Amino acid sequence: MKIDYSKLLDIMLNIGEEMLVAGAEINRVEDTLTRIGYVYGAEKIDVFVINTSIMLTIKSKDVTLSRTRRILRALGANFERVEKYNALSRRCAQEPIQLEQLEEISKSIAEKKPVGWGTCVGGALAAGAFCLFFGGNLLSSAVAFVFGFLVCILNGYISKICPNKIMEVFLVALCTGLGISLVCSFIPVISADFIIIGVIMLLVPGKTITNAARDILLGDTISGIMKLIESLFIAGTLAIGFAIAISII
Amino acid sequence: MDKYIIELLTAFLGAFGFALLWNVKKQRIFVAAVGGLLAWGAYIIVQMSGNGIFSSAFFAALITAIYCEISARIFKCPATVFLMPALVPLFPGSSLYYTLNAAVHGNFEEFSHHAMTTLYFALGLACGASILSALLTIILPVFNKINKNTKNT
Repeated sequence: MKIDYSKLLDIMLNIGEEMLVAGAEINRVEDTLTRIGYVYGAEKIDVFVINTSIMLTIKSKDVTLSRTRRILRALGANFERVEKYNALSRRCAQEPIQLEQLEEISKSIAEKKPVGWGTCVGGALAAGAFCLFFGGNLLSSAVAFVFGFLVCILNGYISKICPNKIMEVFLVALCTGLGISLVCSFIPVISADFIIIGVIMLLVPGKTITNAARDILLGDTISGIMKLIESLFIAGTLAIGFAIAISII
Repeated sequence: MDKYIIELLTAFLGAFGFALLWNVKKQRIFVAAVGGLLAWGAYIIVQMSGNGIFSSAFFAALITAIYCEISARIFKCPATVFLMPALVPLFPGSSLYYTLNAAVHGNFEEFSHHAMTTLYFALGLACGASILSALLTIILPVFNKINKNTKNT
């Protein structure tokens, strides 16, 4: 089988980018790319992945190719996609499939978008549940449910126009903080505290900080530190956003 | 006792919600949500036996990680898929809120207390959740090698 390595590199970079953006660990992305590369007959693969770029070099019998990919999208979470790419690479390792087919499958995985309202309902459910969890009553939990839904919608819109994650979180925190304080000043029976806690749980960078620790322990120090610092900043901005909103109203 | 039941139930629901939010595959959502329940149950037990903030979060996250690694082996998919939603009940959302609340009211003592709590909790959670997968990446290759060698001979 004659292999077009230039095309293979493109496909691998696409797979790597999609996995990284879908919330896979650095280690898993590097592993997957290496595995795919060796399946298609490379002699040596060098992969270097950090949060914001991928560098990939393939050395085969007659060519050595190298390419980089700058990643501009923010790292999110779409675990179905991570799982599918992981399964794809394992399938490749067992029985190599044609390059065209690989490209097609990888495209079809990337194009399958999560159901918008489904994720929003998830966010609403989580906000409502954590409002109760931290000691709120049923009424405030219902309000948190509504705001959780709104936060998810707002997040979707703001992430499209916002240059970075920190500004995004700040704007979302400010808007929801103002909204919750307004609602609570009209209906004095419910306390803003637990509603805000429920909504904060949606925005807290707990996933990022866990991933950061894992990256550091597995030796990807740069990515780990980038994520760690980012999560500290996000937590800080989140607090500042809500604090401004609370002190205004 | 009622308090614990409500907490466990809502931890389950919260993890379920996050699994939906992060688009976990349909067949895996329930397993991830049970992980959330387990995480909070473990936290309650560890904390009751007299541990500090850091070690409570650490051991609760570690127990959750063990559960998730086992499920990952059973369902043949990455452990992160279960681990992230399952850890959600341990995220220090409330102490972050109390921190900012203290800051708004200018109460410095409370502010630093809650800020340290948040930080310790987050660090304990992160270390506990990731130390197992770090150890496994060292142990598993060695284990596989031994397995292969014994098969060959």
